[in-house]
Amino acid sequence: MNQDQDDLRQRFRELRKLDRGQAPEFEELIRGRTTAAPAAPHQGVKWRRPLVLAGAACLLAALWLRPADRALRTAHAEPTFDEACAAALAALELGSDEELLHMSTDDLLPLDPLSDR
Amino acid sequence: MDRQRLQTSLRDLHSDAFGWALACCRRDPDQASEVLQESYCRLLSGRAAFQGRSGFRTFVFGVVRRVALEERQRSFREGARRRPLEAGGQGEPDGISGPAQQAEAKEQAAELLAGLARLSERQREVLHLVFYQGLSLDEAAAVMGVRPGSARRHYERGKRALQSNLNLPTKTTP
Repeated sequence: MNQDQDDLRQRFRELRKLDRGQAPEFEELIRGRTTAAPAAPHQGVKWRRPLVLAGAACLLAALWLRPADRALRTAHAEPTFDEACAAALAALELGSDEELLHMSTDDLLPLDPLSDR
Repeated sequence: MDRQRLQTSLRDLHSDAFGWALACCRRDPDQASEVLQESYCRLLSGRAAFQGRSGFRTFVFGVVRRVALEERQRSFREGARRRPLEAGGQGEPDGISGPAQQAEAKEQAAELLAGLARLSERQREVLHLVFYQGLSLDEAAAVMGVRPGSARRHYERGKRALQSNLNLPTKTTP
């Protein structure tokens, strides 16, 4: 065997001795596999992120729907000027007092017709 | 090979396997332990089954190398930083008694590791397998997944470069 190879072999042998000192126990590594490993810190963040995004999406949807819903309800609650006139005329033509009694003054005529244009 | 026998064989090989895992993990002992644990898990669960086509040691070292490569790719994707090559550990080295001897051994090991760090990965691997583990070049080639001729080239070039790095006398081998 060559002298140069012996030198290298000797140095690797010394390194090997040092490495043996820091090797973990075989049983420890085997046992570690059978017990459940604790969740890594980043795993919680991974799961939390979609939940936060879903919550934000719900909040935005609620905020967007609220004025639209209110506008829809307002549109149904308040008859237009033409609708009110038509209803009043129909009631007059029928001559039914009951029909007129059930109508509020707002339904019959706006106070200022010009303002509704 | 049944599980009990497999476990016994792995226990016998444990120290050498750890040395090889260290070499594959750029001398990071924590990562080497993780890689070794994953390798044992694959071997004992049968996900990596020994078919008897090569020696048991060669097969186990091949599995460790593959797991280390996968781990390195995963860490690279996650942007993890590797610790630089360094010698020594926290434990008491086997067979080295006395502080002066230990200091000398650590110094020599640090010198060797510094020399190895300047080689290519293939050269480091083949030198470790031949000089540290005592494998033949054919066995080293099987572990590395390269042809014997290629392993020999890496070995010759790596050896010359390492001798030069360590200021050792070089001599061409037949």
